Amino acid sequence: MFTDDVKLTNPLHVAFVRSQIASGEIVELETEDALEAEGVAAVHTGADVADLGSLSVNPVLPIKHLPPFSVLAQATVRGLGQPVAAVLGETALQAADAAELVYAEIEPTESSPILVAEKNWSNAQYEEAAAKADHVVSCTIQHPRLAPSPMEPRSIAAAYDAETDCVTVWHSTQTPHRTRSELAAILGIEAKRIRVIAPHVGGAFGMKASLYPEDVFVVWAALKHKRDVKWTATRSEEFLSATHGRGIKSEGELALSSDGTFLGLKAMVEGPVGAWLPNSGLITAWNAARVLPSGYAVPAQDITTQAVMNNLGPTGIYRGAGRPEANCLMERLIDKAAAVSGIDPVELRRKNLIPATALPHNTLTGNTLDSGDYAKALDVLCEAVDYPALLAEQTRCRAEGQLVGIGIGFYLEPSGNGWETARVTLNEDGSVVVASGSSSQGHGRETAFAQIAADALNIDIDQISVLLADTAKTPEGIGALASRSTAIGGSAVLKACEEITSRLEASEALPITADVRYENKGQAWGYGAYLAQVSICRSTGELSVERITCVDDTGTIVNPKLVEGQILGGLAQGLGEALMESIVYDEDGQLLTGSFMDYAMPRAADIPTIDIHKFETPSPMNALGAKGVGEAGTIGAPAAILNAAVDALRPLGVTDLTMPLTSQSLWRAIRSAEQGKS
Amino acid sequence: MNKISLTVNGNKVEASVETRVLLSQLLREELGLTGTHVGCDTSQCGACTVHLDGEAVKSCSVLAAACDGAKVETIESLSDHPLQEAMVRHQGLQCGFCTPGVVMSGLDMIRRHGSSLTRERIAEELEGNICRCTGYRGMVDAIYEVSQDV
Ligand code: FES
Ligand code: FES
Repeated sequence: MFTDDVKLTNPLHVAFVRSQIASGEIVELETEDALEAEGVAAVHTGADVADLGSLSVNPVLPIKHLPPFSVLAQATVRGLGQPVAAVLGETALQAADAAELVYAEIEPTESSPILVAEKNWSNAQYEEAAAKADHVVSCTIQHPRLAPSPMEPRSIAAAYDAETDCVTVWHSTQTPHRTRSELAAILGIEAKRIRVIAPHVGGAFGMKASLYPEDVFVVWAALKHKRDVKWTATRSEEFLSATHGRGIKSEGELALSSDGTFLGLKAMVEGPVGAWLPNSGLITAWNAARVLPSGYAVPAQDITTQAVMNNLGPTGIYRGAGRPEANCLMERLIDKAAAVSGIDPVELRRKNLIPATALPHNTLTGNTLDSGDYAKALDVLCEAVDYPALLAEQTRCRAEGQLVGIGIGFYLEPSGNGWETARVTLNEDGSVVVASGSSSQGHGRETAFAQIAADALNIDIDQISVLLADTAKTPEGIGALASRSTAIGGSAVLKACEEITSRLEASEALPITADVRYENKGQAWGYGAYLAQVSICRSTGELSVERITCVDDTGTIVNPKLVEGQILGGLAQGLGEALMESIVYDEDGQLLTGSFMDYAMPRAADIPTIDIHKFETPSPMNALGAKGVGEAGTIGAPAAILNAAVDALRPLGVTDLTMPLTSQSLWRAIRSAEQGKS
Repeated sequence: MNKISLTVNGNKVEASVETRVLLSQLLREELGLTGTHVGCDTSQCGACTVHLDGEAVKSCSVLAAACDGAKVETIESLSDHPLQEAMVRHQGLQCGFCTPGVVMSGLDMIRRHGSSLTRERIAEELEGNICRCTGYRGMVDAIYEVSQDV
């Protein structure tokens, strides 16, 4: 059952009136006609919700300016699609019809970007290193702005209970416990009046990690009108007002000596944020910088990141959340360095990767790379594809005039830090209930947790039931974020099972319940290397990905099939970024890609042959030894495909390309390269 | 209001619907058949795919009023169908939101092509079903496997 399928009692349906202007002042808001329309219970505007509190923002970067959080726009509109009024109707159609009758006159105002947060890490030797270097290469990557697009749009349903004056909220979210605590804080009520259930969630990918203004409105309205209230977004509303991802611009400079040794890295990251910040609104800009310089040893570093507010849609975390951006910058710089130094790209990477013996390694940006053998990922990859044979084949094809490219993307994937909970009960009949503070959106968490418990307690998996994502039935927890749930949530389950085993050995009588709050020792850093083989049609610019080969070290694997599912799914999203996806606004700030008609999503026929190879180096950072894998494909694939596309066009003199690599953009690159030559 | 009578999953159904009501809305909201999902508003995602008089259609692109006298089959008409079982075995689903549409499309392909279906053909015909989670491989394998047993 998904949230929109929940049966409520005679619910009111919400339709939002959204600003069609990105930046402006509300001069008139006329709601009377809507109020008189058939089936309309109420129409609300900013004044009604002016006293509500704000969403909390994870301060991973020092905040200079915190954009206000308005459930409905107050006097000022700061983003296209921002809700300015809300209609409550007896049916969804009546609410939508009445919303059309609300007249909002918004006077456009000029707006300029505002610096929201900034941070620099530097050991102040970069200029010196660059001066000594034999080669300095530079690169600018503008990542397309992406719509995460879980297939289930945002949805929330609130059931009001008159007897207790409490609400039960079904919410399509990754973080049901956070929904509850944030709702309580924003609405200024006790958390115990709110129960949150995340039923089946139809995909999330970071886009459902935070509360939205619309969510707050629904629960506020249920309490205010003492009725059940529901809202499910249309796909157009998702494109307009759900958080977008990527859109990051990163510029970098890599200095190296003639033998290929990296001497210094300078990087400048700029991440867009919208009119309001979700909980994780600064994570992307932070990750895109702090994951630099990936798994490579670079003595001199000067890395800056900025989050800058504009008036486009809101932005937040999207699967990868800064990791693809950081890795992509590094991998592009290295390929450029390989081209100018004449060193093979694999060799150049191998030479500069931090050796296994030097792990754990503390980075300038404050991370500890915990474990693994980075160069081994390259070795396994080269072996899997028969790299020398691949190069020979490329030489042969090039001699025939074909445009064929080979691209490599090494990546690091830090998974989340912190704690998660588990409550495991062994009943008298031998059955086991595992309740976790985490959640699942199709990751197969139930399966993984049941498997961990079955192994730890040495019982049949059919004896185990897993409870997730209901604040009334599970211990307070964090949820599914940053590829953390197996590593941390799974470790909590393991620890609880171990406690049960020892209490059993001490002859304690059944039932036994173990409550565990497990905190990891630090982030587990997954890594791997992807190789893409592409060919590009000279006359049309059409790119085809012939094959992608993946090597991932995901730490201890709980369930190989689930891991493979995460890699394949992530890879399809990475392929989407590389080849087709892009949110586009026109000069006036109007959204041009407001539906799946205009925003290209990868379809079944777009998926190339994919070979998956893995090895396991357990992470010392958590009890299971697991590393995150949820984001691997979104990180490795775009870097590898982009490098392969540039490699394919290198004989024409092309040195840079911008994603998405559509036929049109490649055709232009080919034509201008040819014209430049003649 | 339009009075219509149709057969849904073998049951006779009478309803009176506004002209603008879509078949997907009739199924979900009036008849409570929430297995049919709605993932978009431009007939692109395929989550709403059902069989109308034996053929796969996107139920969000059909007016309920036009279904008078029709036979509609939704995902609820299947239970433990070999394709559902194969989807699970091949990891053809993760979040499950696209799945009812994929299964209904897959059955339609199998009906039309039988064992002459190829993986390439399936991937092409899945054009109208978007899945954001799986990368499609498992669902193609599942449809292919079942088609070979026809
Ligand atoms: S809901 Fe029918 S195609 Fe998307
Ligand atoms: S399984 Fe989630 S959209 Fe297909």
